[in-house]
Amino acid sequence: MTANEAGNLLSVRGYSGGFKTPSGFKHVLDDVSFGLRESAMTAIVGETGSGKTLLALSMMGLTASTFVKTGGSIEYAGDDISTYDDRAYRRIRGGEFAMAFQDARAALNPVISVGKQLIDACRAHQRVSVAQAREIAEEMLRKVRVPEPAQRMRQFPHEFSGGMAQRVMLALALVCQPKLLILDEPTTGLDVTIQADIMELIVDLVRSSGMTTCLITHDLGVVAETCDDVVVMYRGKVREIGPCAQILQYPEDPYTQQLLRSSRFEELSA
Amino acid sequence: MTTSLDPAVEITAPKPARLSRVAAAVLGAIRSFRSSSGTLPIGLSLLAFLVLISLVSLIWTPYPPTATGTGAFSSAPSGAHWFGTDAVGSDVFSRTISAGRTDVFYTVTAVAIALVIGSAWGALAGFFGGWFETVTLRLLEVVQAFPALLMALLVISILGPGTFNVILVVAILPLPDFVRLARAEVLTKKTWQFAEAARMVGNPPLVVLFKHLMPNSWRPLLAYASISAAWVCGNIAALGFIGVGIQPDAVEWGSMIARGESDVVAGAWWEALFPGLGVLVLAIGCQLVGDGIAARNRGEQR
Amino acid sequence: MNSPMSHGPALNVVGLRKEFRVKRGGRARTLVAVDSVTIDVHPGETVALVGESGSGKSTVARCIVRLIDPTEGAVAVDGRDMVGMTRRELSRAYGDVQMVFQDPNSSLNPRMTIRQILTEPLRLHTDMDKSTRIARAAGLLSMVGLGEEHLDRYPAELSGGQRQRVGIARAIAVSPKVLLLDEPTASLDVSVRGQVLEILRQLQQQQQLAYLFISHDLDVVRRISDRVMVMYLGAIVESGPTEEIFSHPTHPYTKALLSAAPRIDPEERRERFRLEGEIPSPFDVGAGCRLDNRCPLVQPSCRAERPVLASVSPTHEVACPVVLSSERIAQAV
Repeated sequence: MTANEAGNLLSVRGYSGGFKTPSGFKHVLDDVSFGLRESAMTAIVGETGSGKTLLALSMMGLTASTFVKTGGSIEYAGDDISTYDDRAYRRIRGGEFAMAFQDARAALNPVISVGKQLIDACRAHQRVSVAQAREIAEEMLRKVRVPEPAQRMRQFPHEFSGGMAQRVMLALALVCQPKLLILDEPTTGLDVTIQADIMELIVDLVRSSGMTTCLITHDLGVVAETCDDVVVMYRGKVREIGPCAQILQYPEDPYTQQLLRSSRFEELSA
Repeated sequence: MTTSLDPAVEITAPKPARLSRVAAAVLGAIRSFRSSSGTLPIGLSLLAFLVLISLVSLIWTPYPPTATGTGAFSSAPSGAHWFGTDAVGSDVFSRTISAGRTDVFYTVTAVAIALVIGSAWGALAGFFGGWFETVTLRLLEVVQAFPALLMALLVISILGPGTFNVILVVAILPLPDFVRLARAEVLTKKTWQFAEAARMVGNPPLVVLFKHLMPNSWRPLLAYASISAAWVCGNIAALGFIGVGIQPDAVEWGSMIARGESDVVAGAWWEALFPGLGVLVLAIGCQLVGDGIAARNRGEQR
Repeated sequence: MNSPMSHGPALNVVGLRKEFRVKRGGRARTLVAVDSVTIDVHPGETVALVGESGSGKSTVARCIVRLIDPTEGAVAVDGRDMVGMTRRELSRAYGDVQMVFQDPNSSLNPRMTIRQILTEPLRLHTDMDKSTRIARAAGLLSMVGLGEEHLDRYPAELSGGQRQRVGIARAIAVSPKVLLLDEPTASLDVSVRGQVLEILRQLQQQQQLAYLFISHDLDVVRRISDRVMVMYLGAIVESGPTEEIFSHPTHPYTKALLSAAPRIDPEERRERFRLEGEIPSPFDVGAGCRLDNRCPLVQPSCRAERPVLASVSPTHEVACPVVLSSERIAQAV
């Protein structure tokens, strides 16, 4: 169950943590270990309460102040970034690490135009002029297949449909050409046909740029069609890791097996 | 149907035998009182203090509050008169704590009226919409367009003085806010599925509104009731100070401040200070309690 | 217990139409949320309404139970017309048709105990006395696989799957003949989904319930329904037996929908049938086919006239003349 050592952009080793609550300490992540292979797409799969979103937030340094790490490390570029404070994280977040969240229209700032948000993101990590940033932003919108990018730059998030807003979210994440892209349930809540379009877009962008990608999801179909590796989580623990094709067809862990059985409706009487 | 890995089985913990709902609620309140920091305990303590001394004044005061000439006129606080005496020789301490009864009673009653009537009105407006809602909103806007005290003076001059009229007037001032708040609550919760489910179960609309929707909104309404109480008691004292609605010599903090006002210049600071403190403590207490409840509401929503 | 299969359908919807008056940009415009929908569900049968956002499927359900009033059309439950009923008659009619809601977190009143939630419909629709009601509530819980200990709990103390089961128990409390299920498993984890579906299947068998199952999840639909109706922008575009629809989707939209769903097993994957663009605003629906701005098979005739449902086979209908003519040619050969 150990992850590959070599060729990992980011390695999580024995990471544990939880929340301080009025009724005691609640452990949410327990000895999580896996690696994100460079230029590969790794899925983190789990149901509610598995801790997958918290794991993503930990990697990005975006956990709530009530979250406390109790052990382990997250290694990137030779450093344990789980020890970084917010200031140190800000250097890599946005520039080298990027995250796209679940509900795009809620995650984008509703009172700032989409164009300005992209330009701000761009200039936060690169030394470019406003005009240059605007060009980059427009090009990004084109890349994520938003029609009429010049006009749409001036619009606000609520003027975008769910699928379009998700594309904007992707553009925002990719505008500084990050090394690591984390996607938290990027297609949940979208219509089926839009989901397929967005996933295709993501795969295209990722493969063409060689980015390392981490996809957080509960949808095994999406994982099967797009990802290279998969990490299966249950209640804060890693149950199984390995190549997608293998795990999904020949799972060894009982929880993974049950998850697949339920997904295939095999536990229903015919 | 259930395997050992069934999350549905694992997530719910077994519950101990339940106490009666009232007992559980009281215990919960005490527990949260002790664990909450900041405003709520302080506010509740202040209010409890006021209520306590007001109750004490029911059975005992050093001197009868309305008696004049109990001591020298406008004498400073001393052993005999803890808060001193005022221009007609009444004991300021006795008057202050007795006035607490009046002010607290007026405040609580006025807020209760505004809360009950305002919430019901707002709930109906939000639930049924249509012309009723539109008319309600326009009416509220008219009332709220007037400066508060001006409105109070206007209504009192029409109704005439008297306890009930004062309470009524002071209740009208915060009423629009309750109507709006209740309406907003209903508008939000109307779309929640349990409201639809309550209809599906067979409840007539009014039952859905008052038995299902409103009970889920009591927290914000309570928080607001407390905060508006702070404002209401200020208005009551203001009316007493001006001498409108409340008799100029009434045992009420505002009136007392008015009586002591002219003597302040002469150096008799105690005559107006202590009733003023009374209003202050009541207002702060209510405000803190309201803030505390609002903070807990926010915390729980997370 | 219900009497054995009656003759007519348990749920009969004919020509259902719902318009909304909305102010858009200063002018009042009409939004047609549901256009001419006809559905039959027989006792013991499950008919699925499938569609994406804007399809109108949830509106159809709410019109059937008159949580929203339809603009036009007839709705009959167990032979009794629902549209013309007064509010009082309607409350009684809720003993025959009930709804299971999507979100288990918001469909149970957080301030009521499970016992209260389950006895409320009994109190309103039957004249059982209190102890009988409580006993029945316990019986309902066991029908959905929950123990009696849950009676005194509040919804917040239950998991999502358990809450959904309570929602189902509440819906069957008064022994309805028809159950409308609005995405009942959408908010549930996949491992819990199977249990809930199994309970629904058992209940249906025991009581010959008619289910109208609304969903966007094609996997669930394939597993649980006898017939499928595909909706797009308010209209039914294809309807037929489940297996027929899944193995021979005919309407372009159905093909697009089925090919877009991601599959775990490679052998189940279909080649993607693409529609251009996104679902347009329901205000912009023109006079012709609703799909005309996205369909790869579009012809000039598609924009001129709105297609109606026509038979591909005795049980299978499609609203697309283009596809229909090629099907007929294929069948003739």
